[in-house]
Amino acid sequence: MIEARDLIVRLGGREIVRGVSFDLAAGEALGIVGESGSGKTTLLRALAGLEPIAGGTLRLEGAPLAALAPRQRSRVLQLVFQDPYGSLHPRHTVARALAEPIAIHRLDRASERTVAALAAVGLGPEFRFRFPHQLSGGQRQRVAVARALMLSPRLLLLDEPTAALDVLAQAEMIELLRSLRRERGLAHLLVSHDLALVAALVERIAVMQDGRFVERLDAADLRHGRAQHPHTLELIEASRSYRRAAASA
Amino acid sequence: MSALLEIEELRVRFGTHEVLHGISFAMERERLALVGGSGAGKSLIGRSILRLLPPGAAMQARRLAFDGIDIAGADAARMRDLRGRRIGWVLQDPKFSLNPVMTIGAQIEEAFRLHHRISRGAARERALASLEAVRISDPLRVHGLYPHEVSGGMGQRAMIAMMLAPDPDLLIADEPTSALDGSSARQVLAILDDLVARRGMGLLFISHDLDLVAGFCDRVLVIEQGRIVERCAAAALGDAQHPYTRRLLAARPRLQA
Repeated sequence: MIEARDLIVRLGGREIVRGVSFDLAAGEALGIVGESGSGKTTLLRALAGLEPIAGGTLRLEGAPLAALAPRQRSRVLQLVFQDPYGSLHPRHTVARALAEPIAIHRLDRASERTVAALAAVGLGPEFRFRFPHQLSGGQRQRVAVARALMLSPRLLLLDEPTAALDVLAQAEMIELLRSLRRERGLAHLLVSHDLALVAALVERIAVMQDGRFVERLDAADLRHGRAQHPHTLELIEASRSYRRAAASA
Repeated sequence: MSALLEIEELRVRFGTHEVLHGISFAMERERLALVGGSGAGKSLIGRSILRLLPPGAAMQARRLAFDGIDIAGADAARMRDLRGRRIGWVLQDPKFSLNPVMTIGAQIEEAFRLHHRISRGAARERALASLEAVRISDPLRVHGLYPHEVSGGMGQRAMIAMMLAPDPDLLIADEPTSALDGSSARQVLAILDDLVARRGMGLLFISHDLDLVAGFCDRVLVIEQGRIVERCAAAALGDAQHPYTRRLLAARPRLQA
C-alpha cells in the first residue's frame, strides 16, 4: 500500500527526514516512535501530501504519490491529528463537518453516510447537531475519526491521536482504533512518543531519531525490552513510571 | 500551627449547575495529587485556591485558608500578593503561559521584581540562578531566547523557574508534563521533586494519570464528578477500592505486561 524509499523532507532549508524507507501492506499497522523534534510528524505529513518530498520515492498503491490528485489521495488515506479542536471548524456542526468530504467528492446519500460514520465511532445520530465545544475531548476525537472515515479510506495516518485525552478517553480511543482495524481492515500508520500506546495498537515499530529510523522491532520486543539501539533503550527507560529513588540515583 | 492549606466544603457552581460538591482536605508541605478524568473538577480546585475561576463560576466554602490566611474572604490586593509570591502556578502548556514577545530571562526577572525590591543587576543574577536550578545547562543563552525558540520541555522548565523565582510556599502544578514527551516529562518531574524536597515547598499536583502520580506524590485524592471518592497514600494505590479509581488504574496501557 505504501512503499517509501530513502525519503527526504526539507523544511526551511533543514533536512528533517533524512532517508527513511519502509513498506506498509493493506490492513497492516506500523508505529513510529521518537521524541519531539525527531521528524516523525513531518514524515507523516509528507505521506499525507502536506509537506513536499525533497528526495527518494514514495508510492501509494503502486503509483508515485506526486502523480495522484489530492482527491484520489484522500480516498486512500486520511489523517487524524492530535488535537481535534484544531481540525474541526468551531462554528460548524458535526453534520456539516462530516458532510464536507461528501460534497467535495460529489457523493450521494450524505445524511445516511453521516449517521453510519458516527455509528462506526460509537456516537448516536443526535451528535449531528452539536458544535465542537459541546463535545467532550473524547467525543471530539471520535468525530475527527468519523470524518476521516467518510471517504472509506484504506489507511489512517494517526498523529498522537490520544495525547489530548484523559486516560479513560484514551482507553476508549485505543479500543475504537483496534476495532476499526479488525472490522474494516484499515491500515494504520501511528506516530507517537508514547511507547505503551504504540505497543498496544501496532505490531511493527520503527524508532526515529534525528530524521532517521535507528531501529525496527516488533511490539513484543518492545514490551520485553529486547532492543539494541541505545536510543530505543533510552525511550524504554523514560517510559517507565517515575520513581523518586530511580530519579535521584 | 495550622496546615499549609485547609479546604472545607468547597463548592463551585456555574449558575444553578454545581460542579464541585463540597470538597474537603488539608495539606502540609508535601506532594499531594488530585487525580481524575477531564471534567472531574480537579483544575477548578486549583483555580479556587488562587481565586482565578473562569467567568460565570461562583465559589463558596466553609473554610478555604492558606497558611492561616482566609482566601475566601481576602480582598483583591491580598490575593494579588499571595499569587506568585506565596502560591505559584504551573500549567500544562508553556506555549500559552509564557509571553511570546518577551525573552525568557526578561520574564523571570519581571517575576522577581514584582515581588522583591531588587536592582536590575540582582534580578538578572537571580534569573540566571533559577534557570540553573531547573537544570538548564546554558542559562546565559536561554536567558536571551524567546519562547518560540525553545522546545516544549525547555519552555516548561523556564515556566517553573519563573514560578520559583519568588520562592513560593505552595506550587500548584496542573498537568505540568502532559504536553511533554517521555524524557522531558521525567526531567520536569525530577526538577519539581528536588525543589519540593530542598525548599520544603508544598506541591499540589493535578493530573489524570494515576500511574504518573503513584511514583511521584506522597498522597492521592481521586476526584470523580466534583467529589473526592478516594483518599490514600500513593504507595497504597494498588489496594485502592473505589471502582472509579480501579478504572483509572486499568485504563492506562503499560509497556511491561
